[in-house]
Amino acid sequence: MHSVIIILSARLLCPILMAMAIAFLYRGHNDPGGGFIGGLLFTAALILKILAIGAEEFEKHLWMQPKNFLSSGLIMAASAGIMPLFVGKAFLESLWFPTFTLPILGKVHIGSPLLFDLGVFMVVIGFVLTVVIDFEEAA
Amino acid sequence: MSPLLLPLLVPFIAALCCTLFSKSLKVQRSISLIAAVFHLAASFNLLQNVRSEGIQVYLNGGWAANIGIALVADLFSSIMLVITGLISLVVLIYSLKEMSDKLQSRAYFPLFNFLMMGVNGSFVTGDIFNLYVWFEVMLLSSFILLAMGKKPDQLEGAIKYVTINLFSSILFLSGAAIIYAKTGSLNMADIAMRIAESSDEKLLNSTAILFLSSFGIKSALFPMFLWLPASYHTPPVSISSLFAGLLTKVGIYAMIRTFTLIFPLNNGLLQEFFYVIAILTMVVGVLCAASQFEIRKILSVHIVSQIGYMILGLALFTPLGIAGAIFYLLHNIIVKTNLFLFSGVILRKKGSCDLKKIGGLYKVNPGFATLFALSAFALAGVPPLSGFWAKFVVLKAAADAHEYLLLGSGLAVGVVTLFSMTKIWAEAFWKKQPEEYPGVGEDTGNQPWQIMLPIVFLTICTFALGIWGELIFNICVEAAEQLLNPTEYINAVMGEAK
Repeated sequence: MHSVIIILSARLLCPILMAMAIAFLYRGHNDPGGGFIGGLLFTAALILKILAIGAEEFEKHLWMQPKNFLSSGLIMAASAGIMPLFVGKAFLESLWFPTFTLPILGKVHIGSPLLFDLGVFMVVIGFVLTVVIDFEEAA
Repeated sequence: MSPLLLPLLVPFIAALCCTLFSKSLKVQRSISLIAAVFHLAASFNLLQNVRSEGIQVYLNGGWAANIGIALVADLFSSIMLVITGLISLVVLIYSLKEMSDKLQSRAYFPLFNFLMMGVNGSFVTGDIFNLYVWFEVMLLSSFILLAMGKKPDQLEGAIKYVTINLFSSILFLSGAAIIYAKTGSLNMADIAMRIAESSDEKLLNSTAILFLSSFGIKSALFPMFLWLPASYHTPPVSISSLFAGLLTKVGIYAMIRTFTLIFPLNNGLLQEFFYVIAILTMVVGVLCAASQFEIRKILSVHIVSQIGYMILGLALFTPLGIAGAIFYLLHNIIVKTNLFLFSGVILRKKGSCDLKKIGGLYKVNPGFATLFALSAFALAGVPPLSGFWAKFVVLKAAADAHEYLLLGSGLAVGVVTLFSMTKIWAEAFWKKQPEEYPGVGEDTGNQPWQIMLPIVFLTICTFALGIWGELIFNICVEAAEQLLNPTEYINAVMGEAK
């Protein structure tokens, strides 16, 4: 089933959803948002794409197996927890780069919590994609 | 790095590495074996530290204890960590040969390590909500392990297991929510402190019962044990033995922890309630077991009746009773795992575990039969094996507390246990192979060392626990005294907060 409406709207909506997902991921440490919600939004965009072009075509464009998203996400989250141990801080304690300013974003505050959130983001994407692609292929 | 973190991080990192090398079974096997050895060493190290320096506390993320999540190890937790390390190593070695390569390649090793991380996490956490999270880590991995192989009866067992365990999680979460709403804290030491000051009967009893039902489901107490015989005999033997040895015992651990620290059992009503549950669990469990004819089913239902003894020890709430419960826990983990490992060998040799279809094992392999007899009689409580001392201590505590009904039912249950074990012995080992059944399994010859080494090792442990039991029992007594004086625990955790 290839509906023109879905294909066109996917083309329009996907970039917006993805941008929003990344914004949610970035602001997640102190404001509402975070890796989990960001990841779900991001997969919403991908699911729209799957509905538009079909799971087989979609998998050709993937540069990494969804299952590998899962494990790499877990590794990122784990390393965000373990890194502080090497500089004598507690497990999962936050490490921060010095703050700097960028034109649009304003003050940028990057540190290990963002890496942790990115890990969660990847895990969510990997999990939902695995499930959705399996269902789509079974249907 | 704090020794408290290692039992969590080692299985976690091992699980991650295993997912990275999902193509090569060889690499996954060696990673898991190395991790299991490290895990055991780290737990021993922690036990040493706790014995020499007292209760260990670690604050995650550098937050104060009542704000962040604290990891706490007292003697009881570290004893449990050591035994977990031991069992995980032994079962891992056994599973290398017992499980087919096809099953092993279905993410067995990552899940095994995640399961170990969940079990260890439940033992070291000092935070009630975090305990829930570790339960979930453990359950999620166990769901998949239980359904591994996708046979119809496995799926049936797994569905029962999943449903009842999710229900128990809801109860636990509700209890934690009520406690949080009333005391404003999730840290167990902090909660214990605040509850000791409060006299709110409704709060105490409602949450205590919610926790009791939740942990009761997880550890298969009397009215809520039917999921266990329905599911434990279905997965591959290595997985059943891991579950039989460890998973229900995590429920018992949680029970002993909450009912010594947060709701000490020395108020009348709750204690009587525990007595009744303990008796019913022991008696109903052992009677159900006596009516079974499949070795693994008999053993699974026996888990229930053994759990009754541990609850009995806890319910008495004397140092001897709780020390007995801990010693019983150790003995039961070793013996129960070992008996399941035996059933795996019988399954390999005879192709079935149904007592009506097998026989003549003594003639084929007297050495193996003797090993089995040692473990079976240890479970039944024949001196001088470990089960005798475990039962003796718990029943002595009951006699000291003048609870003769408990004492009597404990003794009676011991006799019926002996009957069940003799039944397995007579049917599987002494009786001739029934003529209408072939009794031929996939591997009738000598078993590989990966299968026999764990069995021999655990039997030696059972024997050693019986003969040099005093050494270990002394540690159990120390642990029980620590559990009965929660001020030490509270001071260790809350002292870090300042």
